[in-house]
Amino acid sequence: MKAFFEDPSRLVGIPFLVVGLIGAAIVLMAAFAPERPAPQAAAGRYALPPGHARHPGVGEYVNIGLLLALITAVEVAVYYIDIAGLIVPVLLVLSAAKFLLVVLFFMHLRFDNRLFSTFFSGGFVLAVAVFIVVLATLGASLR
Amino acid sequence: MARAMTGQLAMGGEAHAGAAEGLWGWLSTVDHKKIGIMYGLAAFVFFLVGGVEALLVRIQLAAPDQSFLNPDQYNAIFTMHGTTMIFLVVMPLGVAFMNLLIPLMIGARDVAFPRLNAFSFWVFLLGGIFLNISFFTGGNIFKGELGAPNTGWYGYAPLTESRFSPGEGVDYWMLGLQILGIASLAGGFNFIVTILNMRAPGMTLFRMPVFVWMSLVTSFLLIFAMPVLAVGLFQLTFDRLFDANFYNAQLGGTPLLWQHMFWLFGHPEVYILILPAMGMVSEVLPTFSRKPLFGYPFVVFSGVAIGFMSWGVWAHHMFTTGLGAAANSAFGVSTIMIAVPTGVKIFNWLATLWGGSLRMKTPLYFAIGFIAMFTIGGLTGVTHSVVPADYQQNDTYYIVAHFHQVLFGGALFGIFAGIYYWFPKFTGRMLHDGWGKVNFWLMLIGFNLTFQPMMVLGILGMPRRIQTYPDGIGWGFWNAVATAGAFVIALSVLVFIGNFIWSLRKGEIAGDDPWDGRTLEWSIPSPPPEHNFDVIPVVHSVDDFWHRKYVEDPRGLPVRVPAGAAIAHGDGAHGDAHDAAHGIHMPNPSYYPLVAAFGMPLIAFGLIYNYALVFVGALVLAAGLFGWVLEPAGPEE
Amino acid sequence: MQATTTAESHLETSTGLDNRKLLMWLFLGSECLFFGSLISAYLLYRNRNTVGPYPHEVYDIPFTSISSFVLLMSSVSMVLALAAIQRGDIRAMRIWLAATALLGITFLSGQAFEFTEFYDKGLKLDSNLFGSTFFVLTGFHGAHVAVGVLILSSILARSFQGEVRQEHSLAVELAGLYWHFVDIVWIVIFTLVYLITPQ
Repeated sequence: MKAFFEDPSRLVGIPFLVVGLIGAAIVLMAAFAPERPAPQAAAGRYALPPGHARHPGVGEYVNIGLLLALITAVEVAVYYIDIAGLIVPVLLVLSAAKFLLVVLFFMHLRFDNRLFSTFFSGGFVLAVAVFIVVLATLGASLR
Repeated sequence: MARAMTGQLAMGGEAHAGAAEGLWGWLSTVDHKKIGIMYGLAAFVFFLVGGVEALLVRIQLAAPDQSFLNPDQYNAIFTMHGTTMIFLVVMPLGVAFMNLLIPLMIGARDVAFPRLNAFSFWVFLLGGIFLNISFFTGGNIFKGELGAPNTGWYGYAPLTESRFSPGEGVDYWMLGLQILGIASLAGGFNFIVTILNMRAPGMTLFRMPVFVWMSLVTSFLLIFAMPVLAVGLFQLTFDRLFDANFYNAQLGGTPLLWQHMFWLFGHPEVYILILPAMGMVSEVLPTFSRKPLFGYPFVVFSGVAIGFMSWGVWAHHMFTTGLGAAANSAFGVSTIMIAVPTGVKIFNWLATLWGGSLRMKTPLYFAIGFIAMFTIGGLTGVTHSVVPADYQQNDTYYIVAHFHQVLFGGALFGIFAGIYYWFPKFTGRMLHDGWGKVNFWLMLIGFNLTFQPMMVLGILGMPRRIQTYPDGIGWGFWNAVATAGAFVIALSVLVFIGNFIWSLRKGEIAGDDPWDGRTLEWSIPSPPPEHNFDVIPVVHSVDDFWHRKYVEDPRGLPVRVPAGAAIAHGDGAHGDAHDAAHGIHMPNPSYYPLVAAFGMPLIAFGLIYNYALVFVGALVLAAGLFGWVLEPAGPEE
Repeated sequence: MQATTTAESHLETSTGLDNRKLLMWLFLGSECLFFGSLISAYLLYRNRNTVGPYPHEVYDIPFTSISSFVLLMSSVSMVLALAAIQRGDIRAMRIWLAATALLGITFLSGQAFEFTEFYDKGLKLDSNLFGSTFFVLTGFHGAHVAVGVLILSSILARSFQGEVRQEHSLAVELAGLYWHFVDIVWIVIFTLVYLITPQ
């Protein structure tokens, strides 16, 4: 059994294939299930739940998506250009930008209650801090 | 407001007409009180298992050159003793009290996610059983062939790698801890949301009991520390099952990676073990001194500080691994500093007692015992923080003495204080106080007889984890004393069990508030009705219940307010019909958490024996989760 | 999650925030520690391989870039699905959810293909440190994506049964938070693991 799964693509690929098939089956089954008549939608206005401020609109989301694609393209381009020691900081900055765009806008942290940001950034900062110490203690380097 | 709070927990109708009775009722319960009781009972059974393991160790070490246990058996027994006591006893006992008390102390009817709560318990129970099944693998147990893991409770690589531990014992250990980790994570998330979101009106964070604060800090430590252990265990799993190289020095890896991962978890873990007990002591002392807790904000802030600082000290477990002077110095300093907030708490507890009108009952005995024993243990901890001294102390019995001092003398004494204090609330009867004091003295004497000699033995150079020692080396006398002490502890536990069983039937009827308590749980009947509070109280201060019962006269002494305690009684009747009449709907019971929980050990067994079982376990888990999510439910899960 | 409502659930909590949303953010904070540990193991061992294959020998950056782009776009479709249900447009939500799930499956297929390619070049889980740390890190990430696809498919299926309406937007929001998190983990992995490689 162990030998069969030695090939990582099998170890990984087969479960994903199974998942994909299950997902497809679920969707197909549900697609052919009789649809129940939906009740009247909430009259007119959509009330934002507390803790939300304004939303970005569809247009803004698409723009952010384009920006993300652009930054990715720049990252890949930078990979091929020889800028020696600068490559690490440049890539870190670019990926941080993408990270922030997704977290602040797609995950809505910019507009939501501060408590969510506290929990998330708490975990994030803690992870970065302790692992920088671990890596430094064990003499690892980023390059 | 009360209606809104009940609305928060409204589920589909008065479904209790169909609620199962007896055993099935317990299997499907989502009531935090029942879950807390199950946690406590299961943890206590594991305490007895771990205690027997301890006695076996002590018998083996009582005299030099013994072979009561051979080296393999000895290694398995002490490994399981440590693993059991930490993961299956002290952690779940803390969680038991968090379950029982948090909703009552904050004026809620249950936790935020009742089914997740049930899931935590079943996963814990199944994980604990899974871990102990290992004893029966690896040969014929009746011939003394124990299959249990034998690599120490912190399972250092490369000893745990397949090459050096080819049997299944370590597989049980790493997968068992993985399962238990999930239970802890689920509990941690649940309690944080409960504490932040389900407090009674008027209960700001700084009006919460200290026990609730300590539970909050503990829960944050859990949710951030357990994932690191999970990754370390996954890495070990991949090494053992799939020949990965995470801890393989021959291909450039380092066993120190395991140590970092383990202790990054392990140090917050020890605060996870002690903070709930500190919280309990912070509730007991004021009640039995008839004084408010001295310096409430300081006690709270130092608990929070301990939580933060616990992330900065882990490598003090690694001083002897050659990290270098810079790392050693940094962690040495941070370790010295973490003693400060702990010391702050101790002084505040002493100040609470000072000048109080002390009622010398068993809970207070254990609480004072906690302070004394924990102080000693903490001071030895400070000696470890001096790095060159630790070079001598590490891996000797001096360390064993230190952590037993803080975990037994500290956490366990605190938990016993809690048991004697809150037993009346959840059973309606008092534990016998006279026998409680016998329990206390036997335990205190036995504990000190067992572990103080270990301080001496450590300084005399006796290493940890040795199956025996030669005659003439000078360790025999204190080892014999320690073994005698262990049996005194065992006697004290027997006294406790006797008291517990007797008191359940014949104990003095407690009433709502037998201790003249200060916090909200004493304002409702003992045992509490399923819905906890007839009317959710509105809170105006810390120790709100006390301030309803008493006002202060011009000299500052408490004067009883007639009927001040009667804030939360309806017509006194209990039962489902009564609940329904009040418009209180409690969450429906559910079997899905139990079903989902079963998936975990199945997956684990599958990884060890047959991969087909992994898929079966995954399906069971998925079925349980889908059923759970799709169950007709109201706003809360 | 599917049968729950937004309107009544978060009104009476002490913080004013919905229990489940609070739970999801706590979970994501906790996951930072999980992935942080895996990424650190990779970074620690990156320069310590005593035998090959080495990263620069197996990586196909253009291919992985396209994979990354796909996953990023799935975040866009995810947030559009949320916007759709928030304005009551269930049909649009279904389209965008299906798109997200499909993009996720595309990403996973890309991963599986990439793993096969690496395997053919001799990189196995047990080959060296790189093999172990790489496959475990990206494997766990892929597993998280797979779970996300399952969750999205389930919501999609329930919506066909008429069980998902405008007031259930929280379920989609929470699924979205999970999905975006998995995406940002990949943003970090793509940079630290693929782009910053020792030459």
